[in-house]
Parts: sequence; C-alpha cells; structure tokens
Amino acid sequence: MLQMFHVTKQYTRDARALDDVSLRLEKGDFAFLAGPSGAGKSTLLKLLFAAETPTKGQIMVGGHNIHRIQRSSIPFLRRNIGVVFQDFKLLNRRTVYDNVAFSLEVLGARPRDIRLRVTRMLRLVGLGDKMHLSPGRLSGGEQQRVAIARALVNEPQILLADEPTGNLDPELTFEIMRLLQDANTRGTTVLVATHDPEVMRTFRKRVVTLKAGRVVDDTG
Amino acid sequence: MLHWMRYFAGKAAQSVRQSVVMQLVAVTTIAVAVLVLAGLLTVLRNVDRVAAQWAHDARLIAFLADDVPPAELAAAADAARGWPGVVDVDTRTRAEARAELAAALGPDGALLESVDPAVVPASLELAVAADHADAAGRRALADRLRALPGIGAVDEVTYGADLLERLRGLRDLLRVGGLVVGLLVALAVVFIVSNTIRLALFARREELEIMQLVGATDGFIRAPCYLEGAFQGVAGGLLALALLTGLLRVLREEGGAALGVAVGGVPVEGLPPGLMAALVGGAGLVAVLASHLAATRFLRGERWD
Ligand SMILES: Nc1ncnc2c1ncn2[C@@H]1O[C@H](COP(=O)(O)OP(=O)(O)OP(=O)(O)O)[C@@H](O)[C@H]1O
Ligand SMILES: [Mg+2]
Repeated sequence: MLQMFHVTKQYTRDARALDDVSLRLEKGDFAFLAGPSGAGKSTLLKLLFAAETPTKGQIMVGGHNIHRIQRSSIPFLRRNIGVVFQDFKLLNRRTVYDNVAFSLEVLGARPRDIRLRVTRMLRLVGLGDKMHLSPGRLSGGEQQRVAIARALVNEPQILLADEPTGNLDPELTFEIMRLLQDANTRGTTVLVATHDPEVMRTFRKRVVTLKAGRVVDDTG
Repeated sequence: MLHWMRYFAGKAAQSVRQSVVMQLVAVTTIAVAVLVLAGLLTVLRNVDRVAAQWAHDARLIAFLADDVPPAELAAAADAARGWPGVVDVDTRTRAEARAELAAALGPDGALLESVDPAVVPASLELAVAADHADAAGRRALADRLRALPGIGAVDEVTYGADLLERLRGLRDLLRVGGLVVGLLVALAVVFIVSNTIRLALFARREELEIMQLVGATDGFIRAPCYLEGAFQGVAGGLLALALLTGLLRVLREEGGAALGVAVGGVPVEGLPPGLMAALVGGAGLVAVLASHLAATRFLRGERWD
C-alpha cells in the first residue's frame, strides 16, 4: 500500500531531512513512526501525501509512483489518504459538521449523501450531538475527533497522523488512538508519527524509528 | 452538475460577503474605469456622427459665367448626376437665385433692387457623398465641374470644410486615445480584480489549504474565483453604463440647448446596445482573466507546515 525506496529529502543543500529511507506498509498495516524531534517524521508523512517531493528515490502509494505524479493528479491521490495533524487544522468559523463535510464537498458528492455520511461519521467518533457547534468550543480531544472524522469520512485506504495526540492529555490520547485503531480494524492502512513512548507501549504495533533522517530501527 | 454549480456560486457569494467593503471598492473602481472608456466612446461616436453629418452637408457650387440657357444648365446637371460621389444636383437660374437671396434677406430684400443682376449668378450645386467629401474628393469634383461648358467659377462651399477636417483629426486622435484608454482600463481592471481576489484567497487560505489536503482539484478552487471575478467585472460594467446613461440624460435635459449647438445641431446619442453589451462582457472577461492570474499565483504558493 505504501512503499519508499531509498528516499532522500533535502530542504537545503547541506542538510538531509531524510537520508536513504526505505519503508513498506501492506494494506491493513498499522505502524508507528518514532524518533526525536527533527528526525524527519513530519517530512516522511508530507512526502507520502505529496506535500513535498523527494530529492531522490521512489515513493509508491496505492500502486502509483508519486515521484512522477502530475500536479493535477495530486488531489486524486489525496482523496485516498486521510491526514490528521497535531494542531487539528480545523476551521473555527465553520461548524463541526461543515468541517467534516468539506472532504466530501470537494469530491462533488451529492448534498444528500454528504448529510448522511457526515452524520454517520460524527456519530462514530462520538460527536453526534455537537455537530452544529464551532470546533473552537470543543475540547482538544473532541477537536481531534473532528479532524479524524474529516480524514475518514470519504473512507480513504490510508490514514496518516502526525503526532495526533501531541496536544492531548493521556486519557484523551488513548481515546484518539482507539479511534485510529478502529479505522485500522475496518481495513485502513495507518501510519502514526509520535514520540510518545507510552502510546507505543500501550498499542503494541510495529515501530519504525527515525533518527537524523535515517531509519535506525524497524520492529516490523 | 447542478449541485456543483450551486456549490461554486455559494462559495463565490460567501467570498463576496466576507469582504463587502473590498468588493464595493473593486466594483466602483472598475465602474469608474469602464465609465472613462464608455464616455470616450460616446464622445467618439458623437464626433463621428457630426462629422458624417457635416460631410453629408458638403456641397460644391459652380457659378455660371453667363446667363446659360436653362436647357444647357439642365444638361450639365444631368451629366453631373452621373458622377461618382454626387448625391444630388440642384440648379438655380439667375432669377431663382435672386429670389432665394431676397427671401433670405427678408425685409432688407429691397436692397437687391439697386444691385447689378450679374452679382447673383445662376448656379449648379452638387451635394457630395461623405466618402468623397474630403479635400481630394472635392478637388476632383470641382475639376470635373470646371470642364463643363458654360462654367465660370467653381466655389467649394462646404459647410465648415476645415472644421470638418479638424473634426476628423479629432476623431482619429480620439480613436487612438480610445485604444490607449481601453488598454489602460483593461489593465486597471486586471489589477483591481486580481488583487481583491488575491486578498480574498489569502483571507480564506486556511480553508483552501484544507480543501487541497482533502483532495480538491485546482479547478475546484478556481471556479468560485472565476465567478467572483465575473461578478465584479459585470457589476462594475453595468454600474458604469448606468452612470453614463444618467449623465447623458442630465446633459440632454439641463444642457440640451448648449450641447446641441456644440455638436452642430445633432442630438447627443448614447452607445448602441451591442457596444454596451460588449463593454460589460469585456469587463467581465477581463476580470475572469484577472481572477485566473490571481488563483494561479495563489495555487503555486501552496505550502504545508
Ligand atoms: N520546510 C522546511 N524547510 C527547511 N527545512 C525543513 C523544513 N521542514 C523541515 N525541515 C528540517 O528537516 C528536518 C526534519 O524535520 P521534521 O519536521 O520532518 O522532523 P520531525 O521528526 O517531524 O520533528 P518534530 O518531532 O519536532 O515534529 C529538521 O531538521 C527540520 O529543521
Ligand atoms: Mg513533526
């Protein structure tokens, strides 16, 4: 489902954010991406949803080589990838419902389908009764659940999460991780960047550890 | 398809609502720019019409040296009628000319009694077509007249001949000016629209970034921009035409007489509907082009941090 072959990413001439990284995730896999700050976790995820291009190497996502992807094809790649960030990236001037509906609107889904699927998704993440509030009025954990609902509502094959629990206290952290795990159980391939050892201990999954842009350990 | 269009229209309307003041400024500025162009076109059009009218009034009068017999005069007139550029031929015998002059003089007509009859000669008058009324055309016709038997002298009586030349000069100047102003107006519209849309996009950048994150195509982001641009351009164009129409009405009602004199008795005319539609459509088109530029610039700057 996800493959990287000898990928190097240089933002600047003299430093490598990623250095000869190879990685493979099968369909339905769940893996953590670990490593200290600056190790290149976010960079790796950005390469996967084509927010950045690799300096060297090949990246395959769902059978497509995204190194040679046309700019115009990137949206179609992203429709297959849900992304969740540490800072949620929600629109506070819109309702919770609107934030989630976004993912379906850009696909040109019918209003009736949007209503049905958004409502179902928000119930699934336990926000059925907060649909019409602004995300700004919700707790951090609830906001991240909105972001997860947005990432999953169009049923992508891949879910990428960049420190999704970085802003949350332990209790909420487990709540969010359980949602990601549920998505994985339903068949979504999940890759979660985190530097929270507690999370990795609790959810015993494959851990890929980066350090200074290199894969230094892979339990898979 | 329909819900897409509704969606884009909704987005565009939302963008317009989010910055009402900026939209007003943009629409008004476009209106002023288009008004300048439309005003110039109106002046040009009226100058054109006056020039055409004057050209139409251009006449050549051949005064006959001797008292040519009416039959010969009629033959000359018939010959002249066949020449290219001659719209009409009028003849006056000496008696008719004298009577006409007397009528024109009115109560002072009695003065003519004491004047030598030869002072008021018989004449042959050509009405010259507009396309032959320039200096060269008139000279050619005068030469042909002189070649006719019995012609004593040929006078070019063109009502305001050099005024006409000057009017034509002015018209050419206005045409060049119109082209320049048109270009400037287009540039101004591009500048205003692309900047308001860039600002609008910038104000919505968070939303747009998220749209891109969840897989919105560039076209999906562009479409509402095009609508917004088209709205600004068309609204500006319509406002300009409304202003111009109002202005012309005031001119006709308030300054009608003075203006009538200024344009030689030809009533001031507005722009034809086709040209008005073209102006509005043009403003809309240029504005859409501008929003395309703005959207392209915005989309090229995509960043994920
Ligand atoms: N846009 C950029 N331009 C230049 N350098 C960058 C850019 N983004 C990241 N870097 C550099 O690349 C390296 C890896 O950064 P990255 O954000 O991938 O690390 P990370 O593992 O996600 O760290 P953190 O845990 O702090 O989020 C860092 O040295 C960082 O300074
Ligand atoms: Mg990071």
